[in-house]
Amino acid sequence: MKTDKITLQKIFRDILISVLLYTLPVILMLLSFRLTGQRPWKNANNTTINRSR
Amino acid sequence: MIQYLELLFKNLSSWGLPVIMVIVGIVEFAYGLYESRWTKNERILDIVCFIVPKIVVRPLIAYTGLLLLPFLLPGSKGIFSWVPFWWGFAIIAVADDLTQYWYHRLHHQLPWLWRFHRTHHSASYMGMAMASRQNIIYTIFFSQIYLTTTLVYLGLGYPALFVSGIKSLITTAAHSSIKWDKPFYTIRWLKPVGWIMERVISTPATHHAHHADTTDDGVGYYKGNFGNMFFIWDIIFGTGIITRQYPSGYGIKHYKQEEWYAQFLWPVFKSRKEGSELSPNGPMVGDAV
Repeated sequence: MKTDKITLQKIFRDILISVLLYTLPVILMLLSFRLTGQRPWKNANNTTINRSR
Repeated sequence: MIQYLELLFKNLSSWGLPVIMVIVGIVEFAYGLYESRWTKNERILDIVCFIVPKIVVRPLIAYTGLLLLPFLLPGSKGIFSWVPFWWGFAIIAVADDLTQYWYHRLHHQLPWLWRFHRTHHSASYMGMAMASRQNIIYTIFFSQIYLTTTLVYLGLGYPALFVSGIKSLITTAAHSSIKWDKPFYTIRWLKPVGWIMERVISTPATHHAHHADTTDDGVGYYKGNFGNMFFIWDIIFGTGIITRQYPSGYGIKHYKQEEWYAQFLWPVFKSRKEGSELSPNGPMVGDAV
């Protein structure tokens, strides 16, 4: 038993849309950092260095 | 306040949710919501599916993850722990639930996968009893578990605690035979909330439709409504229908009350029921699913 062609086409199309949806929160986060000038990863590095000292 | 919430979600992810499910299950049973359909075979299957993943599968996945991830992603432990909480929450919520949407949808749309998911649909009733009912292979390969475990290893464990807690509450509530969402469709001032809610998260109305035994009544829709925590994926991909009604029957029309061990462990154990999808020479799909 095979999946019909239209269903396979829809699956393929929706997987492409999903790739965008997966990256959306990451893109929005990076955009917010750019707009607000936040650099939280730098604070994390500083904390680690201070801790090691 | 945050400390209490943290404690609440920590307990929810360990013993809290099973206790809630047992209590709600007793209420459902007391109200006769399973009628006489919870036969011995169904009871054993539901209870085995409720217990085994919690004491075997989950600890095994956590142990394997802890063992393998340092080798697969060396030096990466906690590298994203700087991600602000709400962004981490959004990343995990999308990654986890969209992956489960796909895992679920493919088990319905690719015939060779159907028999691994069939056990969840064979129950002719909704409720806490069947909410955990799954074939063991489906449970082991529950794809988003691995993705979320990896994200936890990379440093998103704290937001993951809240996402998994909220998700398990929503998915469990959507399976309940208590139609708690009905007031949102009938009480005038609640209707706008209901309109948003039924598009964003799974509700008994939309998820019961997915478990219907027919699509002929215009309410049942087992060919869609795949969303688990979020229903919004079904809206985006056009795989959902919203009717605000509940199907008259649940399960699968070609169900043959296959033995609980065959439903739980297929293809390791097969059914002796003639013509069953789970029998040695049975059809891949009994009818259109």
